[in-house]
Amino acid sequence: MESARQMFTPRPVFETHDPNAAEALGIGVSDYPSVQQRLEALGCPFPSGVAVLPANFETITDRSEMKEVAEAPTIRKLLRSGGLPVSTLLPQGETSRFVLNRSAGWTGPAIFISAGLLSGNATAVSLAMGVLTNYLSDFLKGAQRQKGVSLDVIVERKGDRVCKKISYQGPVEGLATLAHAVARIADE
Amino acid sequence: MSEADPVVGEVNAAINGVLAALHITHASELQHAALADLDALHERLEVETQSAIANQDEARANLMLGFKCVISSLGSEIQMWLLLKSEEPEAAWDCLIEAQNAALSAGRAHPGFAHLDEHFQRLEAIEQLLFPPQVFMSSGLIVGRQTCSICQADYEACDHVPGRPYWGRFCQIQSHDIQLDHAAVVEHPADKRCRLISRPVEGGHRNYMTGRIEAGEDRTMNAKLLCAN
Repeated sequence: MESARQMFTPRPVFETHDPNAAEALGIGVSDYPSVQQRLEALGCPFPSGVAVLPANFETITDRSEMKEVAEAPTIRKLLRSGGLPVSTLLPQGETSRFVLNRSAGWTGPAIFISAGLLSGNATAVSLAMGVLTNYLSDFLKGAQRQKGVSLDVIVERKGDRVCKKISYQGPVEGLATLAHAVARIADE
Repeated sequence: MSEADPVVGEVNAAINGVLAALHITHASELQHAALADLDALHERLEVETQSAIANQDEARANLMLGFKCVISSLGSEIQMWLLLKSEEPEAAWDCLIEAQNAALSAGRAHPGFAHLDEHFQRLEAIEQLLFPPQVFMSSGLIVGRQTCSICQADYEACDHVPGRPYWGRFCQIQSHDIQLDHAAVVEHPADKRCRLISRPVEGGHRNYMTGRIEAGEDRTMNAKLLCAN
């Protein structure tokens, strides 16, 4: 009887194609180490605009240990193409290795937004999220899209330059909500 | 542009001619003939692609890329039916996943193929109705260097973006100096061809696809971790 009951419980054939199917886990905010101090300790220049942080940024003791998420160079390209000031962390001539995780969905690198950029360009984060949303809407199809995306934005608050991590996990279309969260945290 | 292009009509007519082969009941010799037709069509499209490039018409080159993806999807599906009829379910599974991937790629190649999402849904229905649930694998790799498949430059040094079409070709990131970091069982893999093949049972290894117990004495799982694109 048990096996017969299972036979009459078909798997949902078309469910994975709903573009809104990715569970919107929403946005979480947590403390993050001072990016300026970490970069000083590693001997890296401080970015005046946007930078992509390596996956192991919080733990490494030497910049030669840096490992970037494999998608990091794509993010830099896209943000530059959107007219945003994107900085690289390593001095000229130095390179890092990449971490390539071959699972569905899309996990982006942590994007650092400096207080200077937030003060000088109020639309920068909205522009960045728009560029990423357009790209991911084209890039992610089928089950890849159903799994959703996750992205961390590290915000340097305008007043005290304390850093906060804003984590997003959910459908591609929800990335735009990150811009509102960044604006709110930046002004705290 | 596409309405006035006589090649579009010809290719659509040729594609319609092979659709009958997309059924397991269709005679194998006719399915082989359909595959030969698709091969010939692919060659024709390659000629048209080179013509579009020579005429500096990138949109048309990408349109031809979309048609090639459609042909690849149809060809892989016909191969899948043939392999199922000859009791080769593992190779059939790989063909099905290739058919799905090609259907999705068509929509990336040119907006005129956006409706291929519906064809993808049909292929996913076939996956769920004909094949048993699979245990998928994901690999974590450490990559030393990345280059662009379009211009061969260091990936960060060019403007090409992966997944986008350029002059009849998709940009892909080429990884070099690769080390395997870890492997994991996942519900949603990047590539459904990466899966557990068999698991140890009393008397050997049971194949996840056929259920047969095959030779094997050790207690390790047999998995497929990396697949060529």
